[in-house]
Amino acid sequence: MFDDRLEFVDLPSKKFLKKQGLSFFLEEDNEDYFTDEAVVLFKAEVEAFKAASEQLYKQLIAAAKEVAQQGAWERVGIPENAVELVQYSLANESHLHLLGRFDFAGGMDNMPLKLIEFNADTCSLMPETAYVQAEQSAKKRKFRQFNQLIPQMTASFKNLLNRYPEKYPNLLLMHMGHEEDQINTEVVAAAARKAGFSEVHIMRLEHVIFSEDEGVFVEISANNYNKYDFVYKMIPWEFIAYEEPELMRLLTQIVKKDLAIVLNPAFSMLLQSKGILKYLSDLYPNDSNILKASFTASDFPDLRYARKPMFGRVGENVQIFTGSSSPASTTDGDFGHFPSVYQELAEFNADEDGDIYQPSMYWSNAPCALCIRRRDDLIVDDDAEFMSHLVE
Amino acid sequence: MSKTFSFLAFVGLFMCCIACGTDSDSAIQYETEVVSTPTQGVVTTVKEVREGEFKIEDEEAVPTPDDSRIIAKWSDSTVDTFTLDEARLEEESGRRGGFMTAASYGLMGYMMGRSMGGFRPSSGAYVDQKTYNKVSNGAGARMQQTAKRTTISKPKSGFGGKSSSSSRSYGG
Repeated sequence: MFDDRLEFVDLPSKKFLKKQGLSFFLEEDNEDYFTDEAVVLFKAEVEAFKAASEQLYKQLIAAAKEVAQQGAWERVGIPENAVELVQYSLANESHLHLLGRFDFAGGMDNMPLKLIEFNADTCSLMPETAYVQAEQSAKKRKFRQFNQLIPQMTASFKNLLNRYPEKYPNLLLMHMGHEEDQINTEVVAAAARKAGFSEVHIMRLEHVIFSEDEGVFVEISANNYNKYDFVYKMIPWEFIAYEEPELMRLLTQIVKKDLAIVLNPAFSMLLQSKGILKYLSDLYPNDSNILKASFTASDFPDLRYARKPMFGRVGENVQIFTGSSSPASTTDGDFGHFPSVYQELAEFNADEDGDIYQPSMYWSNAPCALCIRRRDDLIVDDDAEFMSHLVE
Repeated sequence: MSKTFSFLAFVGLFMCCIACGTDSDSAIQYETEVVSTPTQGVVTTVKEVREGEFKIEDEEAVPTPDDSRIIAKWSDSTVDTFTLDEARLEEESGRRGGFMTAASYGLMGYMMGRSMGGFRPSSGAYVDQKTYNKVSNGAGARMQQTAKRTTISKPKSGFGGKSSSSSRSYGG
């Protein structure tokens, strides 16, 4: 019984959240975001999540290469103006993928572990995972927690610095202005500082200057410009490609001329596309962690599937069909204009109230941290609760 | 040495032209700026004409910005040669100051981040008009001729400006 896995923990205090710079989570909309329960996992289950992540990452790269070989860019939503850089990135930048997060179904109580999707480009939940769940578990001394997000990101950054000794160790982190994005970039910034970057600056995109001949700059005072050799963007590649085509053009030149290292690299757009799930399931039809996916609903004659937009976030514009032509659950959102991808339904672990639990595993060249979300609906969206985990 | 400083030491931006273009896909208006970067450095000799007051006695172009030096001739007849970093430290130490500020009003200003388009050496910073003319027509002209010019693009409102940037997260 899943409820036996729930262990009471302290909610993060206001003082702790303020001290960590996470007052965002104290705002009215977020007041029920954290829970006073943590999910207990067995060590073997955590190892299974890690092993699946290792394997799935390799399989996703193989699927991405299959897309490239077939030239199926349009099929997976990569617009024409992004193909050059995505193709280049896939061939040359495999070492630059700093961070992603696998979202799973199952994996506990012997329920099959299934990949729902891979948040390859601008994954969030970082401060909750790195700081909040660590705080919530601090008093639970008989348990451990798999939470190496910052140490592993730090190791990845150190590898980058070692690989590019000729570059100046400064990093610009760009976001679009939302506080949640900013606090996520701050976690990346913390890892970069630990890794030895001498200058780490966070800036809204609109203040960043791009030169196809010189690189990436910020004007720090009148006529004084700081040039950055490393850039992390909390801005999705598909947003850049679709909404800011001139920026896409500039970044293509900047990356290909080696004027700046841009993280995550452009091929993460391909891994982020839900379209990759179709190629993944075609390549590995019998893999126990991979759900069947398709571009057509008719491939699911039992009418049991999830319909998702090619590029969607936090469960927006998703429909769940559970055997009827009418959806059992639907969410609104900003991504309904993208083509749809259809994925076989997966079974989630659920408690006696029917709330479902979605485990996620962060990836930074290795599986590095686990977190869980809980939702009293069929779709894990922005209204889901964040849950800490404990390892027995 | 910080990257900021090293970059400032050799880059000046000037708005050579503003080309407002419209991207047909995004309807964003862009400004095009020409960035002028000195490829040569300069050796500036400053002379203490009164206690704490310096004038530029000479300026010569040198092959690279890294070769730049400030030669300070003190009123007690001692002479010191500084790199830009050393000069900055010397001034910050409070032991002897003023010479770097004087140098910044000459061609050395370009090495300190002054705009190559917007800033012109001040004749009053030189010991006399003849020296100013000599430097302007010699080292000054060569630095302008050899400057590297590149173009940067930036949206008038900045990239991302048209999105509802504060209303939603772009994480997932």
